Amino acid sequence: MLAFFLVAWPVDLFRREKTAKTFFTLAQFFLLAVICCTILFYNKSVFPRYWQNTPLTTLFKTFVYLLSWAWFYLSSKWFLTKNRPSFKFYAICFMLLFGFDILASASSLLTLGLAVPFVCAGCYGLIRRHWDIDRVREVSAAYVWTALFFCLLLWGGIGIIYNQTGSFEYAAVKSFFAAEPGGTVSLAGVLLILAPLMFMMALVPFHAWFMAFVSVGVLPVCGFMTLIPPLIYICTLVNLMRGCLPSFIETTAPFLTIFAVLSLTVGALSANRENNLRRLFAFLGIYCQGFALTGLIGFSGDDIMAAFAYIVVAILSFTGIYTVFLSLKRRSEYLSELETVSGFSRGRPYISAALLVFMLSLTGLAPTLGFFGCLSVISGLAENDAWGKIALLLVSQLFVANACLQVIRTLFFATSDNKFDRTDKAIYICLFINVIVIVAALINPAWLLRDALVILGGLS
Amino acid sequence: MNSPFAILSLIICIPFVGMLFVLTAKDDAENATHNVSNVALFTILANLVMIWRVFMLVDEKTLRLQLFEKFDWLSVPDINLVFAVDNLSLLMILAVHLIILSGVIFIRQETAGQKPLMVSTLLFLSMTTGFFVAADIFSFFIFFEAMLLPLFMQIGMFGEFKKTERLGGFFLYNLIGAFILFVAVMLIYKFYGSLTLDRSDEILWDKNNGYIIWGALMLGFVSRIPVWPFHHWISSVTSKIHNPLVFIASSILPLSGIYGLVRFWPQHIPEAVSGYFIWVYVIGTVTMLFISLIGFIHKDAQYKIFAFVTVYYIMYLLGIFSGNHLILLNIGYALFGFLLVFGALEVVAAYVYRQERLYDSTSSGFLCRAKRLSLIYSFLTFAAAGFPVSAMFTNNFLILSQLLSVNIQLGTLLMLACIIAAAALVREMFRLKTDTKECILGKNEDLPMGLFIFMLFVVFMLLMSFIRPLWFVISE
Repeated sequence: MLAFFLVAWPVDLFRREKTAKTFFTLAQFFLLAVICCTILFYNKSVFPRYWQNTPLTTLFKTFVYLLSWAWFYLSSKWFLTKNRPSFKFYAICFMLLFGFDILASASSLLTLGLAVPFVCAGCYGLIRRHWDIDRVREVSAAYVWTALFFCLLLWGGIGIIYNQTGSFEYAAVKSFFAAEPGGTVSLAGVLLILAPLMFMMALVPFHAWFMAFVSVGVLPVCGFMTLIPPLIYICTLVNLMRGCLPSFIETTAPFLTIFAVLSLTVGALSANRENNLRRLFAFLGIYCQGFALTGLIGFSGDDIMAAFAYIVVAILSFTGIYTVFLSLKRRSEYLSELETVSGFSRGRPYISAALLVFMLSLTGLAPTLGFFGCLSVISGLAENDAWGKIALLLVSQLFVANACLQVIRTLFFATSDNKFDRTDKAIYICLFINVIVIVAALINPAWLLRDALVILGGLS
Repeated sequence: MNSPFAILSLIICIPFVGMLFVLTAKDDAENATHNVSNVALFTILANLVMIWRVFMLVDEKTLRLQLFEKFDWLSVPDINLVFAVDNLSLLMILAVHLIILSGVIFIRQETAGQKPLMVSTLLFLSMTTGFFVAADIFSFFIFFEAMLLPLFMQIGMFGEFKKTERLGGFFLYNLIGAFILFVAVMLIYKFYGSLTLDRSDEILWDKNNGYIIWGALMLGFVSRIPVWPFHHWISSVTSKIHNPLVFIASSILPLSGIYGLVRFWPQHIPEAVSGYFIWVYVIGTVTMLFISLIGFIHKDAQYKIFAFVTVYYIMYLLGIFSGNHLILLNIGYALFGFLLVFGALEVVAAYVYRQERLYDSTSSGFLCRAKRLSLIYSFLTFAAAGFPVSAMFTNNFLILSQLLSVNIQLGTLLMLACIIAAAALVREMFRLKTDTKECILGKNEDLPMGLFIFMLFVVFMLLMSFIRPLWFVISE
């Protein structure tokens, strides 16, 4: 990943005819190499004391790299349309991927303490890529201060745990608390460590930065921040709770439940009063994180499997939705206000139909793939007799369905004759592939998740 | 799997594949006249042949589910999709295909812009077929919910519906019903595993949240039937639809509730629960009377058909609640005739309505001049009114006598509601037969030959169903 900079930077400096395609081509070669290395050395680590690859982290990372590849490709279309330089975007994304890699594989609290600020710095860099909007400075400044605050909390938490256990290593902390149950101070330390993760996941009430980010964002940046990080943060959380703090799974459950419930509720309700498509789906993104966290809280093998299945399905749907966003254009301007896209299905029936599939999948309605994701989470909760949570999930699903109906009504039932720009064939191809993956996975979910289930099955 | 060539999966897949073909078919007025509707027509006809074949494979003497097909779908949670059929489900599938076919033949007269309608229709048909062949709780639920979206799209795009917010309410209302059913399904799965429908009697009332399971099952199904207090969203949307294909599809939705109750109706009901059924009778009968009276005084023929459909659905619901298991089979056969009658009647009524709008003329007296239309319209009205010309007659007779034996007063009121609903239709027919000078519709506006031949076929089916419901089955 770091080698990408060594090659891309001189290209940016010295090559005259450089376009987004140039950097995408470079990015895809390096991503391919990264994927190969990740799979080949799935259980090898250079510094096992600080970060360690496991089948679980490999699974999450491979999925993230594949998604990144797809999004880099689609982003290049945006850069070409807008005729904007793209080096910094790809460079920062690679920097973030590097940070995600370390974060997901962290086997020491020290690594976690360093990776989190690094990732936050990457996010800050991406916010600064919003060239057009005046609010960028304001948003990025707010982000920096909030991120700094949460980093301080993280370091405080790590300090407390180190003070209690005398070690930063996950394994050592785990065995310490297995032998000697932690008290209130230890719990406070754990919560301080978890808080920054909740902030990075943009869970309510720490979601303001993400909404501001999406509101002012250019499409490639918003897409990257919506699609890529959720899996890594879940992987990090799983790694941390199972590898380092399993003794605290029960005691932290009520706190995580509060975050999950708030995110579910606020995400679903707020999406209903949004007229901006990107903000609407950003709220649904928060809702999905809350949904996945609700299923994950027990951190058993089945819980992780359910959360993984759900989040993969949600991300596939979001990928499709963001691909559709790339086709919502009029006079080379990308549209995001709901009223500006009314009657879209008349001009672009296939893209609208694809968006319909993705939205329903996100809502979790049968017979879409999203139903399978929801079913995985809900059946896990039913096993634990968590009927209250199931009721909450179903009610929030109703609100999400209502938000999606609002979009469907505008796109399909409105009679306005809005004109839209011609859609790139590549977008059709990407949408087609995405729909095929969703349909194939629906017919037999094992096709998509078999290996994942095998790998994660080893956890139970 | 004891079904040859996974034939049940095939009858679900054929409309879906047809939908994909429709998606890729050309649909412009100049070059591709009827292209899309031809593909849809061919798809439904092909599936009808397959359904006929399935009829021959099924042993008509047994009431148990047959031709099981099982697919491993998920390992965690352990869920298999199971399909199976019996005569009841096959009759429902056949009737649904025939009435949708009648709608497609009617729509075929329109030249272009039908692609989204045909896509959603075929998708709806595929999901409905899946619902009727589903033989385990999960596949049953999946198809129960899956019907909603294509129907919603159909109504939204072609129902000529102005208040789309109300349409959203309709979708959400049905979704709530589906979620209630989902809770029941999850409870069943937790305590009994992935049950097949023929084992639903294993769900005990007094153990494992039995009351909640049965309550949620019944509430989920009843929510699809326009009985008070669930009538608002259904009636506010369905009664205003003038596109016959969309109306037919939306009127199939309550059928899913009736069918679900027939499938899941328990062998034994505790007295503590059955004591409350009298309230269901009271509410059902009052709703029937209320809707039939509105239908009678309403001038719109469409509302009269809606009132007729609603009254009969509620009657079948009350028939189920009467608790006699033999009546369930009668309800199955009666539904077959009822679906054919109301589907065909809706198509001819829509034809009259379209001619009225096209020529900006009153239709009073239209039937005096259009002989083909008159023949079909009159037969269907009489069949709907309860004359002995279809399977509806004998089976409705048995259902009504059962209801009268349960409670003579309510049964009488219920019969009165049926009579009023039928009288509304007969009155409309007489209006169409009363010649006026203002009517400029003549024999040139008579039913097109293609539609007429199909309607004759429906009439033939209805007559034969009166003699022997499964007359077309050649046992192997």
